[in-house]
Amino acid sequence: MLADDKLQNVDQDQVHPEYATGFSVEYHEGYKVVTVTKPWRGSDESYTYVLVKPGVSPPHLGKGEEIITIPSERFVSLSSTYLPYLPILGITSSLKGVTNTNTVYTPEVMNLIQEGKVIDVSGGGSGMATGINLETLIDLNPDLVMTYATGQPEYDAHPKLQEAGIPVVLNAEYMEEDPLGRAEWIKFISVFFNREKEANAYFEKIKNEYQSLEKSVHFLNGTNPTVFVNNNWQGTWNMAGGQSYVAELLRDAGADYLWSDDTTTGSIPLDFEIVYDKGQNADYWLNPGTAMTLQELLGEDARYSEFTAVKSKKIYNNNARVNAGGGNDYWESGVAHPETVLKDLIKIFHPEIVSDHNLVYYRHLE
Amino acid sequence: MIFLLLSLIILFFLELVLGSVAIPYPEIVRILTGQGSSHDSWIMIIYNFRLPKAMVGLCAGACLAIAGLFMQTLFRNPLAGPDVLGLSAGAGLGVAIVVLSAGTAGASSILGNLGFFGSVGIAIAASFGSGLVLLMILAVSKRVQNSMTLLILGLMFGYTANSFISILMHFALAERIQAYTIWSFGSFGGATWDQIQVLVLFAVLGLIYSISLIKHLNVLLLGDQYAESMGLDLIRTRNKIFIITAVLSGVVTAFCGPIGFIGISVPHLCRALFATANHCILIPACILLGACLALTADIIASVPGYSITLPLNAITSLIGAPVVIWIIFSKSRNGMEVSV
Repeated sequence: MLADDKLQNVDQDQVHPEYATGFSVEYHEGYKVVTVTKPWRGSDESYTYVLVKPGVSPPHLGKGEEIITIPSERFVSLSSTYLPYLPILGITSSLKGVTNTNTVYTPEVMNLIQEGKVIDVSGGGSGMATGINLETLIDLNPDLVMTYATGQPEYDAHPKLQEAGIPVVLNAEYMEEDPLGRAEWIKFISVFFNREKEANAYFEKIKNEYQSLEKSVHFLNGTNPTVFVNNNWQGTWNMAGGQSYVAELLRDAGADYLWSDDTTTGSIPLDFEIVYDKGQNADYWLNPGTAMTLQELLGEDARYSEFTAVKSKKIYNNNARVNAGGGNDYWESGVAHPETVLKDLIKIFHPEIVSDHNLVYYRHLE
Repeated sequence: MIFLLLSLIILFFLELVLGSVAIPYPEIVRILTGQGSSHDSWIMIIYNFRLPKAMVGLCAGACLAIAGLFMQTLFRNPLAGPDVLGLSAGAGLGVAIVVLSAGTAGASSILGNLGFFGSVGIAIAASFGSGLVLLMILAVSKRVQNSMTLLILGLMFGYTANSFISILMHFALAERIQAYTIWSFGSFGGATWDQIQVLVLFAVLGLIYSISLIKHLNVLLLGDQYAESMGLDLIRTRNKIFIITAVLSGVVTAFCGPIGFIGISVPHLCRALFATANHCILIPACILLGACLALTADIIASVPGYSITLPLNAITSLIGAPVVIWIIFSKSRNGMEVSV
């Protein structure tokens, strides 16, 4: 347990992002300032939070700065992607509310849900952020709510929560396209609980693992296998952009992603015929939607059988860990463990490097 | 009429020639005449991507235009279209039930292995949904004399189906909501050959049968009472028109998703073009013009030369609406109002 009164410049007790580009932390005598520079796509405003110990008021408050009292002891998470970090930082017990309990995958959190110690604050369903039951949330009396924002008022929960006087911070990890950058938001979360030390130790570990895997792929001779991702739906194929999270992972795993030259970060809606033209002879096909078996995939569109990757059965889907509610752990603990996702991908493309690894998030469609 | 036919033939070829993948024109002619091609993938693209899309577009446009014409005549309402009976909404509900449950482990293992997440499954679900709404309409139709009352009831069925869809969406996973949204954008590219046979069969049968209704439709324009005094069995005729509209618009919605605007706009365009209310002329005109409009919209939506696609539904409205607005204004200038 860190002493609260030691918010001073002790290196291990401070976090500074190396890969993440969306937040920064400044440490002052007695308080910290956290800035989220780009909370959503196309946003031109940044959010600044001033973190203080109970009963302490910061020396000055700039325009638009919000005071958050830390460490948080009644925490509500409105996205399942923050949950895997709580056990890592040793703060699972401060979690009081989550959304969509039926899709949560993190075991420590699931236990708390079953014990009734963590409450579902969704509006009964699991749609957009509008599906939040504000009354349940207020009733929990949270001292910190963490959520994400899309910039579309009809989906975003934070303005409503601020109106209700609930301390809310925006987490923009989903904007990071670098897998390590995305996982580095563990540091952002740690700041609100004074757990910087644990965050630093964890991130150092996965960073080293990720980079050594990356290096081992680098030293390979020979050509990289070609790959394309996602699937056709009603004639339109949403391909991951060349600068997206998925594309970065494929590159780091030593695969030649066919849309690598593309410059977008999100996904691009393509004509099925373009994908067929470019991808018919590709070696691998990854993440083809919701299919759990090859038969299911071919049932979706008979034209898939023309792909070489289908003929040679080199199709892998990232849904090996999906629970009954449809929650996919690839988007939960997978975000916190980019090194494991990378290992999965290397096992698929270059099995000789990680021969003792068994696939965690990926399944081979047979 | 000849001009429309020629336009249709030209548009059909353009649909085969223009696409995201640039295939030289001589190659297309060689592929279509069965002489093969230097690229095997081009043969595949023409035969398995573009030809099916063109066929679907042609059938869908014709069916929707006819369905719209029938609804406007039956209800004597210029705002009526194939969706006034709530059939599209019913189809949407069927699809929502299947699509929004995908991705959850339980549903995937059962429905997925039945191939239910594929376009066939979607088509079956959509047909089932619109069929159910049709049965309700027919049951009510026996008791209701006034057509306008039925129009209101149809709209109410539609609202009811849509509210169920909203509830389903509220509980669905975000990525499944996206899948449903994409379906609701409409597309001619989702159907494969085995489904196209079904679509073409229904379309041809429906269109042939619609010709037998020409006389009834012309009489209906004169008003329900007058039609009955002419010896027309109103309820029976009405039910025939309902069934044919349901089949035509239901089968299109099943394979292409909800395609807006063609059904409501094409009959108006045809009446303006041919300056007649006679169904003898309007039926073939609607078939041709509906198909032309659908193919034009699809060519624009595929953004030739670029790899991106646009939602078809948006394009049908974008090219249809200005034309209808123009007709309305030019008619009012001549002291005429829009009529059916």
